[in-house]
Amino acid sequence: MIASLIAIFIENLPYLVKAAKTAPEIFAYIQRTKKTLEQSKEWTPDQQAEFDRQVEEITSQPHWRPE
Amino acid sequence: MKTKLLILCACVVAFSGCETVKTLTASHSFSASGQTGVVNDDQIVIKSEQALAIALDTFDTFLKAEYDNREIFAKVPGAHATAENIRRNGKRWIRTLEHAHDAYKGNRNESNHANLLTAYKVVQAAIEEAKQYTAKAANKGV
Repeated sequence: MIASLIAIFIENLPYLVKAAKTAPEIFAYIQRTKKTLEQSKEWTPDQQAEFDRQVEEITSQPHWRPE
Repeated sequence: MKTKLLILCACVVAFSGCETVKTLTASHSFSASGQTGVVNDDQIVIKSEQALAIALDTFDTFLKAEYDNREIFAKVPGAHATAENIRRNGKRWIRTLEHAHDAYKGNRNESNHANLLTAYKVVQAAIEEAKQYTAKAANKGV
């Protein structure tokens, strides 16, 4: 019983590691969204320039490239 | 395989179960303060800026999940096509909303208000699609 549980654990270890890595990303996403919704003033030119930079940086990532 | 779905379940929490996203959807119901002439709607500027930031983040999170879990998303008809659509057009939708935002900020007239509202709705629809397909992908393998 224990041996089979250990085997299942080992078999799924790569996915567990991946999930453990993903969870903080999701948590960070939620925190960023909350912070964004707290915005009460219009963007300054610097903030808009920073957003432009982020758009270019993020959309150049491999997962954004169409097949 | 089921353990893999933990990753997607986490995404579902972020995309669908999170009050933050629900608040976003509710708070982005724009209302025009005037139908003719000058439209002085200050909130629309801030809300469109929030939509820009959240769209970029949501698209990125969805596309990364789809990229890293192709075999799971392949089980959901339309999910990959939606991801590809966002890959091809997401940046353009964001830029269009940004340009409409800039135009309205420069001249708060009825026409620019209408264009901003239209651009916003396109981005919001894409955000909703991304959320729905992520939820479907999570349910598919359970």
